[in-house]
Amino acid sequence: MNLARPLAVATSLGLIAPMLTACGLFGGPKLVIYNAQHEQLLEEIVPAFEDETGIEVELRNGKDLELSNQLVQEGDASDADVFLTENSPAMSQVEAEGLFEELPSDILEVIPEMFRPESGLWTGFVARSTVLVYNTDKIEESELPDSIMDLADPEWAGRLSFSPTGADFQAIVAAVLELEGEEATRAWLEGIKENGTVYDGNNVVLENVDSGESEVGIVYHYYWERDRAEGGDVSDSSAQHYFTDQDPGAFVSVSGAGVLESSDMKDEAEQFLEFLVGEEGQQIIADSYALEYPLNPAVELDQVTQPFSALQPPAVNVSDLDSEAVVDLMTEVGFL
Amino acid sequence: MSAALEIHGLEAGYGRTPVLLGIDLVVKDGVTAILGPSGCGKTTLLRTVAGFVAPSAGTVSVAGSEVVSGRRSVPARLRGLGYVPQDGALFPHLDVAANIAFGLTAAERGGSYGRTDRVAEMLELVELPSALAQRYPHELSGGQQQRVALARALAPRPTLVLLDEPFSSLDASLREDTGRAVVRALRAAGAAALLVTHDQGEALSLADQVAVMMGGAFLQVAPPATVYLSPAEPRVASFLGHASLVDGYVEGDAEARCALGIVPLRMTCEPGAVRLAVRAEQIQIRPHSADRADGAPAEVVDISFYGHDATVRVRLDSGEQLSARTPATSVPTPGDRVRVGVVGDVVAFRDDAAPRP
Amino acid sequence: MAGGASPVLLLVGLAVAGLALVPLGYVIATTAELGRQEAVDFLWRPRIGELLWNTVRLLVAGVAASTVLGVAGAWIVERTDVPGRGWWHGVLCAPLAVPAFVNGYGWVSTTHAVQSFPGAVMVVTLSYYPLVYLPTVAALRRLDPGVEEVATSLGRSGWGVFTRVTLPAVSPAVLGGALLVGLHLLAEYGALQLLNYPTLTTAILQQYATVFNGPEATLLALVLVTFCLLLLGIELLLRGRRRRARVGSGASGHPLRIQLGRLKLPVLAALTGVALWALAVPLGALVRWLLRGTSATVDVGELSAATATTLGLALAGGVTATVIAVPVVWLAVRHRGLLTTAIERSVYTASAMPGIVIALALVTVSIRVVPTLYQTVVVLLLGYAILFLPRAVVSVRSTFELVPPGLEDVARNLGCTGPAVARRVTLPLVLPGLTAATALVGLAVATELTATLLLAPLGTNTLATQFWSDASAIAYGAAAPYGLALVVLSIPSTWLLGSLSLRSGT
Repeated sequence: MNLARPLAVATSLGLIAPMLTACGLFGGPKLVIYNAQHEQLLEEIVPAFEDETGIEVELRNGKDLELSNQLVQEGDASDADVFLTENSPAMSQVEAEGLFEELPSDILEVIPEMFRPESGLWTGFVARSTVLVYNTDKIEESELPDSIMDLADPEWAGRLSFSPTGADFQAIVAAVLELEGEEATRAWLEGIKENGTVYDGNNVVLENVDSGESEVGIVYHYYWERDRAEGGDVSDSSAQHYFTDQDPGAFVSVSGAGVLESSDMKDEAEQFLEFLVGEEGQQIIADSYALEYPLNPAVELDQVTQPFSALQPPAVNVSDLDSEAVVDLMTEVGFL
Repeated sequence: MSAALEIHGLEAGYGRTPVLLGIDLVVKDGVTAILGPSGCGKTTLLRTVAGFVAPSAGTVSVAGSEVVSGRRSVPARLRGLGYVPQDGALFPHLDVAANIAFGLTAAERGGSYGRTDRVAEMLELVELPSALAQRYPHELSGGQQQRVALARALAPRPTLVLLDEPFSSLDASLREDTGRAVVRALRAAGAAALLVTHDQGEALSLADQVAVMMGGAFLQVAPPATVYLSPAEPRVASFLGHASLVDGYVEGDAEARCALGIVPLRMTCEPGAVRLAVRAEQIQIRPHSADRADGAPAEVVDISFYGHDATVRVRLDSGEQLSARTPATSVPTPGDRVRVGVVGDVVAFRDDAAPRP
Repeated sequence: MAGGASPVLLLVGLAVAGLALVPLGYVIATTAELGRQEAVDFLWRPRIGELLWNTVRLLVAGVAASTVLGVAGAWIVERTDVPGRGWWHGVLCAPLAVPAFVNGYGWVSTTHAVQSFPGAVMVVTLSYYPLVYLPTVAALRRLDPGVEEVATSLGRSGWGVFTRVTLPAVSPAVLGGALLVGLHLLAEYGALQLLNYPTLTTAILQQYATVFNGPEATLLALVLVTFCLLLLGIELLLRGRRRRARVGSGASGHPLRIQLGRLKLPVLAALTGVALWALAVPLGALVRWLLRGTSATVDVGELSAATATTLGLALAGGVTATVIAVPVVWLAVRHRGLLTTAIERSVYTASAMPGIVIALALVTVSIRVVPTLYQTVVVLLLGYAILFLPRAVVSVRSTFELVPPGLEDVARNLGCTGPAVARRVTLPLVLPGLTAATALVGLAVATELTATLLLAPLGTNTLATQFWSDASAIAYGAAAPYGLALVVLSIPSTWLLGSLSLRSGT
């Protein structure tokens, strides 16, 4: 008993201390990044940035719309200095609330115009392409549709899967909405809802296509590429079909980065963005496991099936992707 | 007519521990009490008769039909016995009427609990108001619960009812009334009963026959007055009624010599060493005097005062300790010098090992 | 009103009650804020009907299957001569140590056939039937064996005794267990998400991920809370006002055990089947993925960091819940009155609040009222406190009832001052119980997923959230070490609950 008490105190201190450290109660000011991009990708970039600049970074990970809505709720009181997303609609939402600081032109000019908004309030830094993965045992590539819109046809009943609850798919819907208009998009959503099996998460879609439960699935290219690179656990019986000719299904979704107006470390935040879109940062991304397309033209991603230059995406201005209209439409159709 | 219960050579035990060592008992009618200290095997005997414990040898017949023969036995549910366990064990989810009607066939129940004649009849038999029929067990007093438990056991008209310490959790005042009422109900229903108890007052006052049990065997089976007044052996005598056992010596006729002087014997006895069972109420405390005829000289050790009387423990000058019951009007104080004498005759048990006084 | 309690203590009690009522208040207030038409438009559509249908049929089938399995298991262990009863008791309790979402992972990573309604019912049943089993075992042990003996002597067969007497007598315990299963099913997120079986709760989390704490999530929460309260109401109604506790102290003794005879082998086979299904499948999957998973290069640093965070939160959460339970219990036990009883009751309302609703409430309230607390450990710990306060109050209460006021009177009579009485008499007596309460809540915190996902400050990774981020991304191998750690952490409380259910017999 005499020994047990101090021991218990010591143990509990030993347990609480790392927790408090993790919560940032100790140490100086850090650059706070609200990060909706894949955590593993940032874990490669951040150490390189910290080494080079000596600026310490704290990541808070979440999902696109979870974090964007959180930023909107927090408003000026937010701790966030930088916001990174997987897809652009969440960036547009924060932009619409006027929460972004305008970026200096030396950051903006690195990225081609079509991958950043005209406002210059944020920029894209990587991109991912929509693909149709298909089970190679169940269907031939020649039988696949020319357009993603065809998947709403009755012939695809029971053969399709996708993950409508994620921001990834919602970005694709945003592109469809922008390109085809509200009526056609509603009809398309109703069609694929009728035809498809709904899963939560693109990995799950990929796994179910690979195991043959669905013949085809709508995902982004890197899910399949990454799994192939890691050994093909859930991709060895499947392949990717890229839509062409500016089809909505060839949509390339842009991951965005922006600096918040409420930030009290704007200089450091801009340094981070500079690093992110600069050649060094983009090369780290290209060499990483992420297999997303860097948007700096000086850097090429060559470990994937299709080089960036071979894609034929539709012309969609990132500023025009409207997440609110998409959520309303998807709620109406009954996905949410 | 065959006996309500006949038991011959019954043996039973748990695992390798024998608990019943060859029990013989015949219950013709009326109430037979199995009286013994806790752990003597009396509850096991009852449970063996009920069919909850499997015997290893012997036979049991209920109303002439054999329910146990060696290891073969009729399942408990087919024996047709009434059973009243400790605390009554009323079904807590059923009201009084449904409890009483539980063992009746659907036809006897007439479909609706509580409105059948049999339930009303049973409530009357155990002297409970019919208004109680719709009450739940937890709304009854302990005594009422026991009466309902008996009514439930009697409702299917068994020839034999088994009662396992049914009054042990009741207040002393309630215990006597409930006991009387239970016996009246049993008589009126014409059912014989086996009553297991460790309370000798209960056994002696309620039973027609008392079986004194110790260590898994019966020491004596006889009417209450007989076991009390003519115990078959010293253990029976000391268990029943606080008898002090005093060494003595029979010298011819019907008298014995002991530390208390010469005492008359209830039954003649061969000359020789004996143990004398002297009951507390037979021992009289008298004022100290020079007269040896007043009894043996002694000193009062301590006193328990009960109001109506008192128990006085004395130490004889010769060394023995005795307990005496004295009227409340003449209680000595500890340390008093007194003389102790015996009133009435005593029972002597042959005890060849006892030293001569 | 409150039997002479000090005003400070009363204020503290009222504050705790207020905290416990935050989730209910939030649901009512935010719903009231919404336009009527807006609410109707959102709720009155096929998607909600789909979610309701899914939720209701899972609730009905899951509760029914858990009840049958739990009662049958308890009856076999307590009322038959099945060999190895002690062992089987342990086996039947053991699934409690496998959190439902780990069980779901085990099944889904073994076969996709469970991604269906029957599959979902099976998995949740295997996870939650012990909640019926444990109280039923305890009730069977408490039941006066005389009751069953009398029924036998009155001519009932084994089955008749069970249906006419045993089952009705233990029904409050069975019903209580079934209610718990129901509340858990309504609150379940992880397992059902993995099984791709959408319910109200999984939909709330999807809404949250899509539009943060928008009005839609609140509306779904309102529907969910309505279900929980409905369930409580049904239980109260079924239980009625009848008391089924044993009457009197009853004979201590061994209950009659049914001789299984020729049924012995089938019964043993069934028990083994439950053990395989509920334990061997999930544990086997964890071990299998650990050994062969491609994503399973175990990062010891991350694993130990998550373990440390989990244990730290468990300790802090356990202490918080226990500490704020003490004044509530003290008021209820020592200063019985209308107000103090109301305080205690209000704490119990939280037991009908799913973790997701508590989390949504705290997110909203902290952002609107105390933005500085939002995204801090404080809010997470408050969430745990509300979620597990009912549990803490029950344990603390049973502890305080062990200290008769007479003891304190005696101490005061011997010259002790108030604080000295607390230090020298009350505290030493209640300390073991308080420690146990802290441990029980702490272990529940350690395996909590749903509220942690919403309330943990971004970047705070617990074993459960790490497991979740891997398992939900199909990184089965990477999830395995976290899953195993969660199982190991759950063993002590499972063992404690298992042995408590046996002790209540004496």
